[in-house]
Amino acid sequence: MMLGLISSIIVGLVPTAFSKVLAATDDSEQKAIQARIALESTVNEVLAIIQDEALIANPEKQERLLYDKAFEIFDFNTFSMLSLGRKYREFSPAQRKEFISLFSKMISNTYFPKLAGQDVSNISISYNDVQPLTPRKGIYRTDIATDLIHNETRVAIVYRMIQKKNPGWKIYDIKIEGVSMAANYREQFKQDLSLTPEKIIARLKGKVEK
Amino acid sequence: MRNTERLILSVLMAFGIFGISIIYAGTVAAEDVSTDQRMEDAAFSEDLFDEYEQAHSATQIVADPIYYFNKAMFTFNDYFYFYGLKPVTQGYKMVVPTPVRIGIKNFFNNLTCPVRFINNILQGKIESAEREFTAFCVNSTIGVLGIYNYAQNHMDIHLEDEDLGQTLGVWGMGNGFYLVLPVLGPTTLRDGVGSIGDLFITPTTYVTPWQLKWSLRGANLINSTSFRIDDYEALKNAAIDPYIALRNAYIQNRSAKIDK
Repeated sequence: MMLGLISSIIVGLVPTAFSKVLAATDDSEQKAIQARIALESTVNEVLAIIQDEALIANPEKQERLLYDKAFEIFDFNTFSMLSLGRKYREFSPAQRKEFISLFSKMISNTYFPKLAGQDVSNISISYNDVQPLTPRKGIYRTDIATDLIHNETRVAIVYRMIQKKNPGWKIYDIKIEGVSMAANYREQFKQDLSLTPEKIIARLKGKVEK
Repeated sequence: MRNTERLILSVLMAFGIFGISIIYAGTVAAEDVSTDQRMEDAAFSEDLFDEYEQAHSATQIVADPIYYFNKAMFTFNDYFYFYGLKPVTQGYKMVVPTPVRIGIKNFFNNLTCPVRFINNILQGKIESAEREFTAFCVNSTIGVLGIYNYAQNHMDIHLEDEDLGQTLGVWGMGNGFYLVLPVLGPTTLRDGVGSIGDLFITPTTYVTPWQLKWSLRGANLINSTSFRIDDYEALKNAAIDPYIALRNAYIQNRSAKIDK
């Protein structure tokens, strides 16, 4: 009797639960596809700006347009947070702000000048499957796997994206050939336990001013 | 060297495109975060931290018992790069046009087919082994000694890096410990032993006289470096601790390859 009741409840619940799981997966999948569309169009726009003859003649304008496009898609706050890991907690709000600003400058000073004059005509990018991550606290995230072929060398790049309220999907980590940038920085910050927020900021300042 | 080479190139490619966002993000986004958003992030962040800890702790940590030796080798390689490899490669790159350099790269890549083929078999990746075989046959003939990568460009056959270090990893062997070799760069005990094993199935090993063999190896090193010149510098400049950055990148990259 009791058993029958329980089993009927289970039998009744299973399809409901199952359909919910299905609906959730479906939802994540669809949202992930939106993310892929956002990524793809931004990357295409960035490549178009780099190749535009008129813009090459006007580097200042080109740079400004590139900033705008890239800023639309990159979530540097989350990237900084993940790079620091739990050390992030030790930072005061003012220090966080300063860290994000300096960290971004250091990375951009290093990599940005290299983009100028890059021949992107022989780059091809293919977008592979989307791999939605389990939503947490109602926030959707996904991995987007891509292959970039440059000079006949194929490089696997996975973009980890998060759905922001406004204006939508943003990249918060890049995994290149299996190497997560955020995890790589996290290991660097973690290794030295004596690195206080003050020391980290001072070190970044030294690097940026160099 | 080959693994780190692709890695560094890729870092450049991705950050090249998105690095630009970062200047902007740094100046604008930092001011943009409202208190509300930060609260939301704080609740959310714990989950993200956990996720990264779980995903990376097992694979990212490598023992480094000979740290002082490794650090010394790292410093040596740094000098070797700036005072040897880099100036030589810069000169080479100026003289040899890109299509020729790609051809040379393809030639050497085709030559190491036996290494990938046998390790595919040892890992039970029969389909990958078939792809290797097809690519080798096609590229060696239509592609003229492998200079032209016909298989990739026209048949959509993409090859994955395989080596004995990966095979041993697939078989369940751990990294052992981290090891930095002069000129060759980062490796681990397992991968180093693997590289020695792979030498036996690398055709260049059997080239005689030895002068020609070492010339070929040198040419391969300089040619492959020409595709990633300055990238090491960029990686180093963008790192808080270059030694750890490279060590971690190596370990992450290897574990991803083994999982594939």
